[in-house]
Amino acid sequence: MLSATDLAALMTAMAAFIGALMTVAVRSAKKEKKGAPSDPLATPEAIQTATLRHEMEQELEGVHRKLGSIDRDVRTTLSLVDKCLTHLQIIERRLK
Amino acid sequence: MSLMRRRTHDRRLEWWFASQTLAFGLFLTHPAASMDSTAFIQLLLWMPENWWGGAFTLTGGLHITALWINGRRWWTPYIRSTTTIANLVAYFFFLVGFWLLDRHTTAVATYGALCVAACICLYGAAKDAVHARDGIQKGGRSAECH
Repeated sequence: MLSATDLAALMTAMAAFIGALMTVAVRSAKKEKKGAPSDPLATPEAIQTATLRHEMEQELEGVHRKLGSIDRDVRTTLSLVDKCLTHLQIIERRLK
Repeated sequence: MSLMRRRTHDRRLEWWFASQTLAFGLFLTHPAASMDSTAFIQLLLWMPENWWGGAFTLTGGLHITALWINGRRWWTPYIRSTTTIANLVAYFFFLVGFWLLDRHTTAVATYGALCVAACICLYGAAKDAVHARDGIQKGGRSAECH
């Protein structure tokens, strides 16, 4: 028979152990998340879908970055063209 | 058969653990006195044998159901974790009972192995719970939407 103190000590030790085990598991899962995604949950189909999704998301991010860069270039060019036009108008007025 | 194999392939130990718990629960609900060893005194003070059987049957059944649905609903890893923790604690107290009675009995090794299996299953279920939570945050409450 276990005394109440022994029982409380056992319960505490058990709770601490389960807590530590779950902390390790959560940390490990978070580390996995930083790399290629392991499956959301279990089935091979789900793993395949998640991997494909991750790859597509990365590709989309790349395309998005490139589009952003093109957008900046176009804006700069348009601003330069605008300045050129202003200068041309000034020159035109002076020539008249 | 192939559907069963496909579903159990990734988590064989967990499927075995859940099935073993269900079978153990059904075994204990049998009217014969199975927990008549002095190692079970403490446990029988908390609950009679058939209640223990019912508890194991319930947790084992829930665990199997969660494993069967797994991958299609976000909450299944949480059920898997909860049932595994409940069973881990129960098997641990079974182990303690036999350890105090005679630490060289085979039951110590058997329940010890069950505790180790429960720890491995809990580790996997907790990791899946993180992935499922991540899936919810990305949108979609089923893993297929992940």
